[in-house]
Amino acid sequence: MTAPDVYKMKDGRMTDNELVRECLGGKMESYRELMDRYRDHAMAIAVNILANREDAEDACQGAFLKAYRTLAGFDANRSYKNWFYALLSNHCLDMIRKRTRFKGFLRRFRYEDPAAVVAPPPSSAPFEELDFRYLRPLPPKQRMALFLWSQEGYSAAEIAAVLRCTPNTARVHLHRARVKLRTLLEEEKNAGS
Amino acid sequence: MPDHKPHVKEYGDDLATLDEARRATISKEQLGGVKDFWPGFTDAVDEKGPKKRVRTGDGLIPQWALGAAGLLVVIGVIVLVPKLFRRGVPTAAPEETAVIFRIDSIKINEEPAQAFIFQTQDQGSTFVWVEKQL
Repeated sequence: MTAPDVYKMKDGRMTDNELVRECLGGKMESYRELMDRYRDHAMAIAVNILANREDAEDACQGAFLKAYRTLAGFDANRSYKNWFYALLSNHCLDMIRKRTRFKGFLRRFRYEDPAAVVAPPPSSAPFEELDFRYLRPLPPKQRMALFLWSQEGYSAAEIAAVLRCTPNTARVHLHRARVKLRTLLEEEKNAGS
Repeated sequence: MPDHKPHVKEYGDDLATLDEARRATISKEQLGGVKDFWPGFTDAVDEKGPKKRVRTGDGLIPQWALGAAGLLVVIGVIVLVPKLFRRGVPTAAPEETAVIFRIDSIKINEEPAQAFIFQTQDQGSTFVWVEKQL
């Protein structure tokens, strides 16, 4: 059985799944093509989940490597794009879990005020323009659902495929994100008036 | 009957709109130039290509599964072997093994020092930090 036609490229370029096949055959350049194809998307996803540009770059670097190493396990009947997005979002969530554990570890041994440890690290100067104030109050899965829905036009079923949950759970993530965002916007409006 | 309709919120009033969500999230365009991950990738990856699965009599098994199985065997040996040797040796009651830790005073260079005792949240460890009094 071949990959569904929906994944075929209309401009004559090779499909993702064809590139994967070539890559498994040992052609490294095919993987470079895949990386170039999804580099911007990957960064946008990682930035929205991690709410930090430098962490997002680390996550993308790690996820591209992980995807390459596990390419043999990719099911050619599925969409490479969704498979990679799922792997990337999982990688980002792992990073957040590790970061939380490390902060907990520091809190146990530090004599300073714990609030100082919890404060988010300052982002580096060139990336100050990215505005994370609406993303940071949301849990990572809600950020992801909100991003895929608003920026990528994903349906609940597609979000579910990336988050590896049921469509109903994806709907709940998205609904909660929209409620929280509305509250934040209202609070900001009230504070301004 | 009084008309409640004007006071009832429309469905969706408490939800952010698509446009609001777009403005709240970071788009690809906002990122500007994205780093090229290829050089870092080629440094990290070994030139053999994607990880291969190991062929066994029953089919393909991922290498990590074999690694995990090996690790379990090693842990099993480490845990079980000392237990086998300890069989028959009477163990001390918890009261006998308890350690009483007490500090009356600490001096550094014959000067009274400050002592801080940290107890970890799980109460499994205690740290003592001693400083010269300034």
